[in-house]
Amino acid sequence: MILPSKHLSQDRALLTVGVGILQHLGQPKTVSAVWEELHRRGEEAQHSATPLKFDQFILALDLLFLMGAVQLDEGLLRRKKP
Amino acid sequence: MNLQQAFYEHKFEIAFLRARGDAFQDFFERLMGFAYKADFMACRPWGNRGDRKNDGFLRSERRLFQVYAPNEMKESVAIPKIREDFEGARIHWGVYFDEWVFVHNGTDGLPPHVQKLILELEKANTGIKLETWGLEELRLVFRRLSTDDLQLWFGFAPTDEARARLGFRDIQVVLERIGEQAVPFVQPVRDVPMGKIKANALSESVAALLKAGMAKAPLVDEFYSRWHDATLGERIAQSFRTKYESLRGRFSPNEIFAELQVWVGGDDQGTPEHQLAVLAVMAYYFESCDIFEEARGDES
Repeated sequence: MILPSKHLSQDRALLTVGVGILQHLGQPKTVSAVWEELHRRGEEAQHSATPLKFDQFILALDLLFLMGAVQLDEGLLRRKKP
Repeated sequence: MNLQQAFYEHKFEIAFLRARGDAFQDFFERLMGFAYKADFMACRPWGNRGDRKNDGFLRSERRLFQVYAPNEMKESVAIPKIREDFEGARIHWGVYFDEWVFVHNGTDGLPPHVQKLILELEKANTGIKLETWGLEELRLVFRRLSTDDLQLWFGFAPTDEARARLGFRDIQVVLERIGEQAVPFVQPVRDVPMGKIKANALSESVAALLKAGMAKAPLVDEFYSRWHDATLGERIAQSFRTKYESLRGRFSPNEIFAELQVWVGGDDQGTPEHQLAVLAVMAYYFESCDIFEEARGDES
């Protein structure tokens, strides 16, 4: 689930979704704002065969948190500096 | 060979391979009955008079059949039995037949001592021709069957028309069905090797069925990419691997294919669309190397 495999496309692997989240965190945002942006981008990309699901988004956030890549600060999600 | 033919020939091979003893006689009578109708006279033991060494008679061709399908052909048992059966047939039915056919279930032909005996008996009985029928001879008989008879025996076959009509929902139903048996264990799957059909010694019929399934296999991939549970494809792959492992070594490759077909699609024959959906799922996992052995070296 974290990495792509024969039966799990790269688009749906949590690591790929996590990268998408980080790309939208140039500045701190609420979780809802990040979801809205990602979701909207997915809908705009008509060719996308794998629209992002909310539960995938949450799992990818969990992964980023466990990896120490993001943190929640006063209700805002922000990238942690390495 | 079209899809329908491939489906029925595969079913026929499996029925042949599984039948032993009385079940093989039932199989033979059914086949001959369908192929020759009233021209074939089945003969069953009657009280203490038995069958008088007659397991069936094809009237128009003056052929008498003797069926023999032990679990294992042993020389010490087979030789006296064949001799006794032939002599008995000659005594009781000699005026009615010109040809005596020994029908057996040996897939690799007959052992040399049995062949020698058949030749000796023919030499010693001028005017009577002796033949042996195994899988390939019976297959020729099977090819005489009408579509109605084939459906009566093995149910509806997937057709090329059905393949064209197959929709996404059909695949989904199959996937949900086997999804319930999934083992929750994720493991990366290796790349697809080519030449697997050859490497696994699968029959032409199975190859044709897999090819039919392959045409719609991308629907399976599409389904997984849209399904809410992203792990479903991997879980089902693991179930396939586990099931295949449990069958490997106990059955021939063609039988394994048949077992997997039932495992995926259920015991009921279902509609042609359903059967083709089953083939599509099987082809998908065959192609992804979750089931059957990988191709070797230069075959890939």
